Amino acid sequence: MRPNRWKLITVCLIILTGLTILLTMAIGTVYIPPSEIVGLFLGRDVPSSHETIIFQVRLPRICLGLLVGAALSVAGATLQGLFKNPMADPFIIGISSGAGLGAAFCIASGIVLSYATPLMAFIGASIAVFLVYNIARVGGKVPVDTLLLSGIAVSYFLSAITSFLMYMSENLHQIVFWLMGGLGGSGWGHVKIAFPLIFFGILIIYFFARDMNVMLLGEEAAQHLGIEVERFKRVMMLLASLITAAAVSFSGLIGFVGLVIPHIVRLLVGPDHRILIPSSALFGGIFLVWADTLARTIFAPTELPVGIITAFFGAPFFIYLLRSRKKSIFG
Amino acid sequence: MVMLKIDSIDFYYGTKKVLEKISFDADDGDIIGIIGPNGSGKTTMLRVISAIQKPRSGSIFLDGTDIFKLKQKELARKLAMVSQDNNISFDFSVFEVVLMGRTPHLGRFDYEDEHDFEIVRHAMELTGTSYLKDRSITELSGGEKQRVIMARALAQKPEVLLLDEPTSHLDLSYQLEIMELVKKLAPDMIIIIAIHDLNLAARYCDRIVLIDDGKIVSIGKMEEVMTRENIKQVFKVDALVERHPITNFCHVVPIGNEFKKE
Repeated sequence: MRPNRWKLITVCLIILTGLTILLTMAIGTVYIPPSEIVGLFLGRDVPSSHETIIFQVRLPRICLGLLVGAALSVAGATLQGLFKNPMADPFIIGISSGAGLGAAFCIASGIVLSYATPLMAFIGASIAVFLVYNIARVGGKVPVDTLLLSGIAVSYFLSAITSFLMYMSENLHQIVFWLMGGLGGSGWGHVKIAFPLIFFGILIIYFFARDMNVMLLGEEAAQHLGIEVERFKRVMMLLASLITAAAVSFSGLIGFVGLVIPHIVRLLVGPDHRILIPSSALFGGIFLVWADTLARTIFAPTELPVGIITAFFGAPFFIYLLRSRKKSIFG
Repeated sequence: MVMLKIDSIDFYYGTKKVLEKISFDADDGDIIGIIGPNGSGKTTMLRVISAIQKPRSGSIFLDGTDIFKLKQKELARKLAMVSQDNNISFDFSVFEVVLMGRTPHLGRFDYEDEHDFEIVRHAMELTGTSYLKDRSITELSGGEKQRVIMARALAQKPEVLLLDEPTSHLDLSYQLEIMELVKKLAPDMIIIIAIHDLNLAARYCDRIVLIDDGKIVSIGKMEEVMTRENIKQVFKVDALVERHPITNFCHVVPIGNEFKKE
C-alpha cells in the first residue's frame, strides 16, 4: 500500500525534475525554445552560440542548483528528525558561520586561486562542526539541547570574526555577495566535485532512513529497538555536515531551503524518512533551480543573490501552509 | 530455557547511589513485580536491566551472556521494554509504529515482509489494538497508546519483557486486560514489571521484589513479601493484608495512620 504511493510520488518528482531542467534551460537573457533544446540533445544542428549557452552556462548551473537544493533539504530533514526539533536546519550546528568565515577570510586576503574560496569554506565549515560537536560532548554523549546551544554560541563567535573581516576588508561587496548565496559562475568543475560528495552522502543517509524513523520515537525508545543512539547521531551529523559543507562551499549561504523544504515535503508525503529523504532531495533541487532561474532573470542582466529569492517567495508559501493546516505542522 | 541473572548491581547518578547490591534471578515463565515507593529506584532498575544505563559494578547475564557486551541490536532481539513516557508527536499510523518493533530483526537493506506483518498483526490482536491499525499515533488516548507501545514491544519477539508501570494510564478494565495479557505471555518469556498497584502485583506476579531507597528489602512469594510489617516499613502506611473472602486474591487495604493506636 504505502510503497505503491511512494513509487508514485517518486516518479512524479522525477518527471517534475526533468521538466524543470528542460524549462529552466530555455529561460534566460536569450530564450532558447525547449523544442530546440530537445533537438540539441538528439544531435540536430542548432546555432553554436545556443549550444554554448546550454552546455557551458545553463546546464552546469542547473546541475549545481539541483545538487545544492538536494543537499540542503536532505541535511535539514535529517537534522530535524535527529534532534526532533522543527527549528533545526543544516546551519544549526555551525556550518554556515564556519563556511562564511572561511570564504570571507579567503576573499578578504585576496587569494585568487581557483577553488580557493570553496576549499576555505569547506575547511571552515568542518572546523566549526568539529568545535560545536566537541563542546557539546559530555562523557561520550551529545545531548541535543547542549548541541543546539553550542551551535548557536560558536556561530555567533565565528560570525563576529567574519563581520570584523568584512569591516576591515576592501572586498566587502564580494564577501556580502558570497554570504547571501548564489549559483552564479558555476561550471562543470564545481559539479564534478560537488556531485560525488552530495550524491553519496544523500545515498548513505537514505540507507539509514528506517533508523531515522525509529529515532522519532525518542532516543531511549530507539535504543530499546536496537539503535546505538550516540553513534547513530554522530554518523548522521557527519553526513549532514558533509553534504551541507559541499553545497555551501560552491553556493554560499543559501538560507531557507534547508529549514522549510523538509517541512513542506513532510506535509505532503508524511514523516517516514524512506520517502521523506528522496522527496526532499528532489523537491529541494527543483525549488532551488526555479529560485535561481528567477534570480538570474528578474533583473537581468544583473543577478540577485538566490537567497533573497528563496526566502522572499518561499516564506509566504510556508506561512500559507502553516495557516491552512489545522494540525501541528511538525510531527 | 531462558535465564536472567542479575548479580549485585550498584548504580549511581553522579555521586548519588541509586541502586545498591541488587541481585535476583528469573526463569522463563516468571512474572516478577518490582514494588516500592516513588523514587525507590524501580524505573532505574529497569533502565539498567535494559542496558540503557550502565551500572558501576555488578553484572547481568541473559542466557549466560553479559548483556553489556551485546550489541544494542542483538540485545533488542532478546529484550524489550515498555517505558512510561511515550510521547510520539509524529504522524505515523499505529500499524507503522508497531512495525518499528521489527527493527532489530531487519538488516540494513531489508524491507519488512509478510512474516513481519504477520507478527505485527498478532501483536496487535494480543493487545487489542487491531482496530486502531490505521489511526494516527498522535490521536490516541493515553491508554490506547500504552497498548500500542506494548504491541510494539511484543513485535520484537523478546525473551525478556520489561514493563514500567504498564497500568498507570489505564482504566480498570484495561488494567486487568493488560495484566491478563501478561499472564498469557508469561510461559514463553520472563516478564519484569515495575508496578504501583499492590493488589495487581499480588494477584498477577509470581514473585515480588520490594525495594526501598535502592535496596532490596524483601524478595520472594507474595505472601512472604507483602506483610504488614514490610509495607509499614517501606511505605510508612499501616495496611491490612488479607485474602479477599470472595475472590481469594491477596489484597492490601491501606488504613492510614489513625489506626496506629490500635
